[in-house]
Amino acid sequence: MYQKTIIKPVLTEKMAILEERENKYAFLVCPDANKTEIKKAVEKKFEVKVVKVATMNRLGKTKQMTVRSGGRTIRTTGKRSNWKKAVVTLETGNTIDLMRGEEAN
Amino acid sequence: MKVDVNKVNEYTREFHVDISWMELKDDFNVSLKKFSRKIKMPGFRPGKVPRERLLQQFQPNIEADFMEDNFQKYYLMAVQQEEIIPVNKAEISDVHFHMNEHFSFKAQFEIEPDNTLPRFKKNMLRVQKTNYIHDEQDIEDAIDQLRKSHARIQTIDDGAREGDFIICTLQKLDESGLPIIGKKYEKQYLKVGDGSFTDEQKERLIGLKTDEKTRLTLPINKEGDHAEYELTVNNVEREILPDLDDDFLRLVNPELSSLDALHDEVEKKIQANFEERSQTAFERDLTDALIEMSNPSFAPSMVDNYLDNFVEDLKKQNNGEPIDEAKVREQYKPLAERNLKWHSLRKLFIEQESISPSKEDVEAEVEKLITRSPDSEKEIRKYYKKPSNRDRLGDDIVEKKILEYLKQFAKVKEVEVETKDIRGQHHEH
Repeated sequence: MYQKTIIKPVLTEKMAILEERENKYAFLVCPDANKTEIKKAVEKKFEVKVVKVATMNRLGKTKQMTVRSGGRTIRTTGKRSNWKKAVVTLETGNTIDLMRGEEAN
Repeated sequence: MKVDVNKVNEYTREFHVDISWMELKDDFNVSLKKFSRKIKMPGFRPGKVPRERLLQQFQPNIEADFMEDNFQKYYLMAVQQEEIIPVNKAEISDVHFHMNEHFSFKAQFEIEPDNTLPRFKKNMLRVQKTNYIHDEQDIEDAIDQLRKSHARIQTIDDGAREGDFIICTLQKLDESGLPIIGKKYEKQYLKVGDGSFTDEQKERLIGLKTDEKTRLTLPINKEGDHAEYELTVNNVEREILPDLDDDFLRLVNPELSSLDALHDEVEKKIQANFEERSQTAFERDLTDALIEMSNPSFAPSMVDNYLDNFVEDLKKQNNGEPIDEAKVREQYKPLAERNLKWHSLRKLFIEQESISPSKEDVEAEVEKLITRSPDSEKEIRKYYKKPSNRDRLGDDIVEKKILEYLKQFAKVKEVEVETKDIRGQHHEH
């Protein structure tokens, strides 16, 4: 179930600081997943104790692009997917090794 | 740093170097920081990727970079610690390094072997000294040479003779005798009876006057191929030697009063030249005798280095023209070996006998050079102001002192050679 909930970790400079100072880890999660589901998924996948989950819905940007259609070049508008980010705070003493990767099932 | 030195042979040493992680840590961190700056990772600015994340992903690369940056440094530290001077590039093997572990490697290289000077005894060096006895012919040849150096060139119009110079235009012809476009060589200078212009070609040139034409068959390559040329004379010039008279004496040296004085002066110079030649040969024989007696050893790589430098110099002198490198190396190998042996003995002399040039010695030598050529005093002083040139002069003084020292132990056999027996022979100094 957690494979559907957690999409990938967010590895950025800001999150690296938060990991180190506040034991917080960020993940890209399924937009339909709620905080409870995310908490359970993280606890099950990484065998850790989650104290708090903060989520944020981000809207995908609209993008202008040029494509060729029927031999003609046309300008069209596209939209990037909406996405959801969850920042998970772990209990003191728990850590997640985000670089280790995941074994294929 | 722990260094074990293994003596492989007389001139080869092997280092086993072992450095603890504590000694390496700081350098490793520097390498890691340097590496992090060149890595681009999404979500991070360059240089801001956390250390753990970098190590997890790139540890082997960071270790490789660390080795590349620091290997030379640790090798040099080991060499300095053991006070050994390698004479070639070390062969490195058994390199082991991982983060948090010892760094160890083996390095094999050559050094200048330890040689010793023999115990000097009287008459131990048997050397031959050649005294040259010159004759009247030598003086006549030298005066002729002087006349040639003061010769004047005169344009003549009574036809070329042997020894005359022809200034001409050469036009290459094809097999049917027609001129080839682009193969016209103007203002060519040739001497009748010299080089390719002998025998039949010479006969064709003799008697030629300005604007006259003739045909020549001349070699065009080393393989012996020939081509036909049409020669058009632009001018014929003759070398007119000055007569042996008072004007000539004034030209050579205004202080000379008569031909006898010139004769004496030339004779003195010839004598001095032969004495110098004899002295150079004697000194070389002396050093050769010592080399033969002590036979100092040297590392093979020293010969290679010597020949490498020699070939490089030769290439520079040849202005980039190709040279047969293998042949040059083979030809000059004995000379390289001889010079290295002498260098080794010379070094021992300097160390054991504490031979060194004093400031006064160098000054005295400079003054001596000035006395020999007083006109160039300013240039000589300027030249020997430069420390590298003074050092070179110092080396010469040391060499002289060593030779003086060696002369005490030489048994000299004097041989007289008449210059008529060696006249025309090519001699090497």
